[in-house]
Amino acid sequence: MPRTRSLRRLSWALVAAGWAGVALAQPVPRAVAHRKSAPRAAAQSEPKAYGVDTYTVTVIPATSFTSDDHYVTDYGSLARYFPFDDNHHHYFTGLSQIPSGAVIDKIGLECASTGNGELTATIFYVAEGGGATSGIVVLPNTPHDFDTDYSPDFLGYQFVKNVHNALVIDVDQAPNTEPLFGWVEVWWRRTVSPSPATPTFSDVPTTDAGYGWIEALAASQITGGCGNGKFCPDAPLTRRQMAIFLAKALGLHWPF
Amino acid sequence: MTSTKRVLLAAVVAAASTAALSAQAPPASLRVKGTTARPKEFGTDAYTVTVIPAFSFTADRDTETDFGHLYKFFPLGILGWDAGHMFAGVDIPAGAIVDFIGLQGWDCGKHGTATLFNVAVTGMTGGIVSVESANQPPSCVVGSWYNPTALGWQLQQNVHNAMVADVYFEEGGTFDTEFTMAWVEVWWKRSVSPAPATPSFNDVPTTDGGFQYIEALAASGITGGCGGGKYCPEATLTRRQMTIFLAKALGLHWPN
Repeated sequence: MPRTRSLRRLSWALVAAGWAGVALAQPVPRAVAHRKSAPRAAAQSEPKAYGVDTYTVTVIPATSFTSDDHYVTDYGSLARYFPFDDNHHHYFTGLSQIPSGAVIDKIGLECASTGNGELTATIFYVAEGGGATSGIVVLPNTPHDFDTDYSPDFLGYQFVKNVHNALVIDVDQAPNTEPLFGWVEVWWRRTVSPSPATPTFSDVPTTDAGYGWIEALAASQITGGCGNGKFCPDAPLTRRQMAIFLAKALGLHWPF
Repeated sequence: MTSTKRVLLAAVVAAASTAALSAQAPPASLRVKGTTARPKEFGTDAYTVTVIPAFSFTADRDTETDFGHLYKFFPLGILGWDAGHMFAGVDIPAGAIVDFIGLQGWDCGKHGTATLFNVAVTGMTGGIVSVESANQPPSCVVGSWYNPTALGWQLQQNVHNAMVADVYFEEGGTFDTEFTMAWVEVWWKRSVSPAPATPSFNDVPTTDGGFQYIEALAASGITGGCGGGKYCPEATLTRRQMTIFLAKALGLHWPN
């Protein structure tokens, strides 16, 4: 099957041009131009931290990345690199899946690059149906031997439902270099969804101090209120009610 | 894939936007909730959409990747495209209810079929549901295909150990007909485990309105009751007790 580099570049350029015309208000970042279609989220399965101030650090190892050319593994096959060869950029592409409303505050890139060039990690949002969006953070690493570089803290990028579908991570190996790629870290934390315009319960108006949180519980079907369209926000909670709230919220308890 | 097909797809991708995804989506009432759901959503009404990208699948023979290497397909043989399978594990919580599976790909008149299998100790069991792409030759479309009605299929630990997604690629002709996979979606939501036959607390009989939920908390180690083999379901919850329930339930708070 004829699969030449020139053909690939031609078609990539066509797609990038299509995206630029349809979806992008901003110039296409260089690292996006090589991607042909929009991915969505990866199946990342790992414990997630709770609360709205605790970071979950999603680590996506090089072994979970796909690539645009043959690569070599090293260090127990945890690290990857493209062999020094042909004056071309090479890319590792990975996907990350985080909850609705999650805020990304920091990105990390682990690699070893002393004397062998550098890597650049770029995080992109992807929208439903096929559009790559602009890069939200670009993180070039600095020359070192096995270390992790981080973006500045508190980036504040929010993963907004119906706007972003997934995060795509591009790791760019510059021509004629051989830095080792280890992993990418995404530091994110949860948030509570914004309040709706119209109250669900007649006794919890939009001015109620607990309005947003009560609406969030109702929308998640964790509570149906106390009857007659009310939530009874000032009623004392019994231990029975607490148990029902928690068991519904967490989907308890399926034994192994 | 020929350059003609690439250009075709480029046009499709550029024009598709959300239309391709909504074309054969689940019923609107469910779809709305699903599209707002993200991984690890809580409550018993929010769908988590676990997306398993093509490059997370293993295959029964060599594969090729394309479109930023996020799509995967079987290479052209001497007489065309041979049929083949790709497999991936599906990681969802015990008791989760799977209502929809989705298959996103590029159908050029030869179809892909995604099937979910239960896995038990003794091996893979019968397929529980399949969804097939359904584009008519000779056109090519990028699209998502879903089963039309909610499945209500539950992953029960001790009955099923896991689920496996199996994507079958229909045999293609020597002409430009083949199926290329982008990802498989599994739409699931949490549920509360069934109540046991025997009560754990002597003041919470099986007839208690909160029986199932209180048992779920006790089984999870979140509560040990209020002493003397009782749970005290009618007792008002203090703020101290609330704190203990939440901290235990969520495993709070290990700082980064």
